[in-house]
Amino acid sequence: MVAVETKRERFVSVDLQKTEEGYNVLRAILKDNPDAKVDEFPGYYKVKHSNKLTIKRETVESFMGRPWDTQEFNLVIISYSGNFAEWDDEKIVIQWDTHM
Amino acid sequence: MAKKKLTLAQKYHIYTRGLDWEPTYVSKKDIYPYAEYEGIKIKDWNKWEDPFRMTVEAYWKYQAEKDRRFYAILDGFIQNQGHLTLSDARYLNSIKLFIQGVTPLEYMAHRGFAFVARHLPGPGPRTAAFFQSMDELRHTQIEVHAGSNFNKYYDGFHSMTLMHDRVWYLSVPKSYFDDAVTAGPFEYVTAISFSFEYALTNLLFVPFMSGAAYNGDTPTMTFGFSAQSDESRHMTLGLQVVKFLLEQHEDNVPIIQRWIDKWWWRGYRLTSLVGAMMDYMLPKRVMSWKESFELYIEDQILEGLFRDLERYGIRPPLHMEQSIKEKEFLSHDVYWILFSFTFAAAFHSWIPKEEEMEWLAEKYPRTFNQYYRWRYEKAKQAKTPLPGDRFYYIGLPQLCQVCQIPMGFTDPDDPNNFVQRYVEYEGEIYHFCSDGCKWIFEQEPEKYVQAWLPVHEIYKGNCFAEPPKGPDDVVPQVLKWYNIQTDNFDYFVSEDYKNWKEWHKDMATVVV
Ligand SMILES: [Fe+2]
Ligand SMILES: [Fe+2]
Repeated sequence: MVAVETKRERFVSVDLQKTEEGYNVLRAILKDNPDAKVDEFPGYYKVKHSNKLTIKRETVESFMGRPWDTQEFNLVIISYSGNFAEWDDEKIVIQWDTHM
Repeated sequence: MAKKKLTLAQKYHIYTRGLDWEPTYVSKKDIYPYAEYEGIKIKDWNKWEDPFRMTVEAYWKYQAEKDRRFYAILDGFIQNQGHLTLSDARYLNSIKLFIQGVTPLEYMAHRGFAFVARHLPGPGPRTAAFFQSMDELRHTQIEVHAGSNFNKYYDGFHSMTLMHDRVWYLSVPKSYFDDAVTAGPFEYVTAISFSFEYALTNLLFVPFMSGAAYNGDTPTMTFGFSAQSDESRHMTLGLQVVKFLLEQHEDNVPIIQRWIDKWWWRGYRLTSLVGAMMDYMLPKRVMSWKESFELYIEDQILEGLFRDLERYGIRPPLHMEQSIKEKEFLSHDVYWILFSFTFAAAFHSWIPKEEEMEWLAEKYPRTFNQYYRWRYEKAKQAKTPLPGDRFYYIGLPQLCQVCQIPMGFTDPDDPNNFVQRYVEYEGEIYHFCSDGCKWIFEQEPEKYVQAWLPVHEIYKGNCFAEPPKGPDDVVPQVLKWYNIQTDNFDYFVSEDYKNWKEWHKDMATVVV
């Protein structure tokens, strides 16, 4: 019998396209979520946080150098893990409902 | 006085719920005839909240932009003869499987969500399903456009819809989706939006597409990520539907649990094809199946999602433990099946090169050298009368009655044996690849006894272009009916390989 090896980690995450816009959103996320960690893969970034990720319109705009609608997040997101707890004109918040 | 701009939440409210109305002269039951027969109880559809808050106006705007970006990249790739800069033409065999197996499912998803968008009694989920129906049509289109460029130069891309309906390994994805669209609207959404899209499509559209990027295939990476960005919305739909149903009535909980149990295993078995693609068919690899499974399933789904669902009384899927146990075996078993029957497939396979076997041994330290390497060493020696100078399994395999994959799954508790299960039902014996597939059959035997099993159909004489002239003519007549031309056999005796060498002969480094 082969023993089962598992490594478990609870986090929220968002997978972002490795594009100019994706990079700006990534920088904004890292600024507003100082404990977030980034893993790089060909074509995409994976940003993780143990608890919660916030994407703020204002911060993204400061990196983009232009107005940015939070719905434009649809153009850079590939996938995510967690819930969209909030999504309004000012910010997007990803977290699980159950906090541990 | 200047008009105040509406907030996202207000806009969403006005353009979805605001456009709904209460019927006056037709009963709701007549409008939504499928809403109740699955036993799901809904008290208040207005409790539904879509976090994406997508309106039709925003939908067109962003989807058009996604398409513009995709076609710019595809055009650039075509104009630059991008196919010549792929890592290796072997890579494209994974894309053939994708185009034949997945793209037709996108189209089925388009149809399935059109049905749901018509039949769910709540305006919120109806709107979300309507967007998804259009998304899935877009996915079909961009994948066909990306594939049609490869079709100019390579085998295996010429007949995806016909093949999807007929070819043995494509009955795996086809029967999966047919199972889903023949369920009621709530089971369909739980199956596709929740179990498949929230839990499993990440494996296909994220690490595999990253692999496409790594192998130089920018159009596939782009359609993959473009599709998966819609998928984020679909995942949300799946999650919201399930949570909403769980909150609406406690009687819904056991129904949802049963669907989650069933559709986890159905989807997981389907995704095993992706495992073989990732571990064996990508000349340059990003992540192994096992690593992707740990990240996207064990961490994100088990440790993330299912912890969140505990408070509704939902537990992880019934056969999840088995999937975890299989993670060091699955991709090897499936590639070996594909490899053994390549004489009847619309893609090529090959014996992994020595450095690839080393990678496999490193990623799978407890299984590859122990249970799989010797098969390829033997396959080099075993000659058959077929092209390729290597082993093929001359014969037809027994198929699992539920997932329709040939019965070649190693038992992790007894790795020198394959799992074989059976059930007797109304005087007939039905065979299964796993406890998961057996359990699914036992829940609804009257559904699965109707399965169209490709091997049975060949034996019944239903899969010949013309009646075979003798035993040697049986497989050729099946291939003709499949519209398989020069698409089969080992890669190293293929037209693809011959052309690839020809196109690269003036280059300093000949690939392969
Ligand atoms: Fe899709
Ligand atoms: Fe099965």
